[in-house]
Amino acid sequence: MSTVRRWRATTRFGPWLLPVLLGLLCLGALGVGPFPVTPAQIVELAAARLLGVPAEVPEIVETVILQVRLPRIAGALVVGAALAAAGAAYQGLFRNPLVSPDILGVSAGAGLGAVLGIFLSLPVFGIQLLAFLFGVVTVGLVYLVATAVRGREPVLVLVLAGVVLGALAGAIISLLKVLADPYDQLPAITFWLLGSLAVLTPDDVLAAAPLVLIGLLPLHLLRWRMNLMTLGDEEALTLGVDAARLRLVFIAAATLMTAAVVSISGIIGWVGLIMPHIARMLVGPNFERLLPAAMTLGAGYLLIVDTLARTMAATEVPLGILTALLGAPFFLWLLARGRHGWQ
Amino acid sequence: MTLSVEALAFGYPGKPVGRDVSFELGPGEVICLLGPNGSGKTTLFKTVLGLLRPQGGRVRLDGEDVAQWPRERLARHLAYVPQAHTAFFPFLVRDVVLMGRAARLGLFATPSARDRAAAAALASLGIADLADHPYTEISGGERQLTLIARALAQEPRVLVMDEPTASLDFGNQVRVLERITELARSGIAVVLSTHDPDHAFLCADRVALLDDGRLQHLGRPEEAITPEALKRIYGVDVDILTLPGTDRRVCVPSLSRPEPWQRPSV
Amino acid sequence: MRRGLAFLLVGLLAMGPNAEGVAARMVTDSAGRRVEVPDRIERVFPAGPPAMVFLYVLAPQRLIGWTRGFRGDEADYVAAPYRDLPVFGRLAGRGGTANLEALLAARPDLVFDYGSLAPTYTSLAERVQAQTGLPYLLIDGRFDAIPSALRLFGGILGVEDRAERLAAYAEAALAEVDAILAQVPPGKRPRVYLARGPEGLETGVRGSINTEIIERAGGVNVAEAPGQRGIVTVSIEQVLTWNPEVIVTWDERFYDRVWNDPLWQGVDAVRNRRVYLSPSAPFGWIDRPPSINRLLGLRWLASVLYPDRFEGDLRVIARDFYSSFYHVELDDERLDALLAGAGG
Repeated sequence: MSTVRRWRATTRFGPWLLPVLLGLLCLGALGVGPFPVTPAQIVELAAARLLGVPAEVPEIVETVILQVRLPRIAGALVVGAALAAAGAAYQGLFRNPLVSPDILGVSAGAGLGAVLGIFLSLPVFGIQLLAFLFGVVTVGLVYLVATAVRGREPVLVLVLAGVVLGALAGAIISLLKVLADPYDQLPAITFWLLGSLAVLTPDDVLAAAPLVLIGLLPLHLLRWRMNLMTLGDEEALTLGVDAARLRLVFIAAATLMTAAVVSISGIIGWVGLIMPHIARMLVGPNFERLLPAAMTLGAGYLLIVDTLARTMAATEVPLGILTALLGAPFFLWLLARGRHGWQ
Repeated sequence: MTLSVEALAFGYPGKPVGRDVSFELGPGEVICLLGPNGSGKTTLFKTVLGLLRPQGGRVRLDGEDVAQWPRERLARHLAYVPQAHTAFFPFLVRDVVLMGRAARLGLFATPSARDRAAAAALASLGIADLADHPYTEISGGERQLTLIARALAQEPRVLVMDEPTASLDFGNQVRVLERITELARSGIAVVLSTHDPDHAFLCADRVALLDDGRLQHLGRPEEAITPEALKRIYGVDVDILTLPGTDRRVCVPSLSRPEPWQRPSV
Repeated sequence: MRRGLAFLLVGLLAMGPNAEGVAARMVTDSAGRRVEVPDRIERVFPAGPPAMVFLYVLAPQRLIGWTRGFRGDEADYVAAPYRDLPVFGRLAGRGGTANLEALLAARPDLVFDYGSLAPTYTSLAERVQAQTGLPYLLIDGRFDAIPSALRLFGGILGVEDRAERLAAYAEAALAEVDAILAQVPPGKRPRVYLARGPEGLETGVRGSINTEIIERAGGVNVAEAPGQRGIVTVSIEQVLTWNPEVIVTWDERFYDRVWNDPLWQGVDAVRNRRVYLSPSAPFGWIDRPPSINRLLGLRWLASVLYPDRFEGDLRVIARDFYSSFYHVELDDERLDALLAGAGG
């Protein structure tokens, strides 16, 4: 019964506690970085902006706070929340708490698009666009292959098709890495594939956020119906739910969100796998509560990790490395303690 | 509401399982489907529920062919109770039962936790106090009752139950059978499959014997369940007895006696 | 039977690398390895891009192929006879892609690499030598060792006169820069940031081979990251904190953008318009690859870091270098195209 008590406690306090914590994290993240900025300056700037008067902080400090750190924090929140939401959706759709948003190949496809863009020396916008398009097209292909096969187990066929196409994309990526110029292109390719918010600009965040919101809309509107998808196709059908069509909508929404953020941040793993898991442990599997909880946790986690990535050393540590280094041992600990959150 | 199955042929694409199955089920009636493993009970149910396309014949509700009905409409009349299974996620019992409201709610609606129909379903089955327990932490019998409650939350007129007493302990089996009789008394038509002829005696108005995909007999329990019939479809010998002073029947298998074990003489 | 034996004998002889021109001599390479090479060396294969540039400069007629293709208009700045030589890929360095069979089919007399003498590379040399029977030499690629490397390899190839002329040029260039630096104490040296990639947020850390030219030309690489080597990515905030006085890049996309990018306005180098676009045809002036091509970059960097102290006209220097080293004559139009942005 302690499980349910935990859920109840989280559901009671969570809706205001978690966002407050997140807000505090954001403030903290705003205050750290290699450029010397004092808390007083932040407060001064915020007050000035709110009151509409010019601030008395040096212009360079204003640039660092508003143009460099703030967009990066916003980016971390958007990317973390989107990945966690997509992960929560997929874990329900595929009835497997070990599933991540990459399972249908969106990250592999986006990676291929980005590597191709780098290889062709496209400007940054071109690289992002290619990443987004390839990510979406890959999942589209996976879906087409799965419907063409028409097996008795639509979910299993989807996963297999995703694995195969993802492997294909990975092979082409490796080929491009071999052909790439080791001086100009290879370091950029490697860094992109490991994920980073280092080169994030405010424009990137403004471009990705609407796409994330568009993908979030069906997930939110249909959040109760997602619970029904965990019953499997047959039972869902007998309850009056068009499982195949709902699944298509959910996959499209999750793919849109994931492709949008991967195109600006590179491939960041573990957030979409672990944060929904922890959220499920805190609030239970009901998607109505799971979705906002996962998004909040995902946003906060990525914010913490990104803040570490940009302050640990003078040079940037790729996010994918940090999320893996932090996430994998935590996951092992979870398994060892037997707190699966799904039995 | 009357469920009519007319000359139904059923099976999987390229693999027919049964044919020529016809029966009619009126409100408040209970039909027990008896048959050995592989006789096609589950396939028949799936076809009735619209999960498989009929390979011949039709299924009607109140005279109307349901083949073209949209999912939601069918689910408002016809509900399915599968065998209690392990779940992937620990939904609360209350949430599991609420899932039954899907056919009655709009696409973007979210049911309130106090949805009356769901609460009534829980109460009618006597498990209202389980509402806040995780589905994964209750017993097999309680899970089966939860699934029945979920089906009832659809507010159906017909219930299709697939071996609802399988893997339940004796007490739970009895409790489920009691509920089934109550549901029938309240006007819901029930067709359930079972392996135990005694269950048919206990709750069925009529019994359908299914073997090899064909309906061997359809009639009242005392006519359908005979030692000859059971010998034919199960291949075992039974005695059918009537309890003295009542018209209740029981079915007792007569185990073939092997030679007594001889202690080897020293 | 006897005819078969004769064929076998001829076949065996033809397999050895010294089947023709059997006269040979022993030479010593920069790593101290004693290797047997043919007396007459006509066909040389460079194991990687630095070696490729080195050989093209020193003795282009011995070059049998390039290790990487040319992009865009880079080929225009390569002397005509050598532009269409085949591309073999690299043997050493980051990821060998050369096909050993294609290499052997090209029948080189000699393979050499120009760069590090670390055990990784000496062991690679030994392996390729053992596997193919081709003599494999290692030449010291350190910047300050350019004159001695030219003389050593020039002697081996038999182009001593040319080697001497180039070595003298190198020594003069190095001395010219040293003279400037002698007057500038380390504390007063300009802080330089090398901006790579279209965003300019990739750079090389201080001490890596890709950026050593900065220190050699009298600058100080702001990207100090103890314990790290090579290319890294940084955030714009870090660049703002370092606040370099000079930015050098060879990415045109970055160079075009940086003037109007509000984030970069906070950097002194951008405000004072001290951002310089390094030419890169046919080879980069300061890197790409890190080879003898950097000699020109050294003088150029010194001229932009110390405009008051550096004597010499960049156009004259460039034209002269391309003529002596790269065997091409640059007319005004091509010179202008090359130097666009090099003046800041």
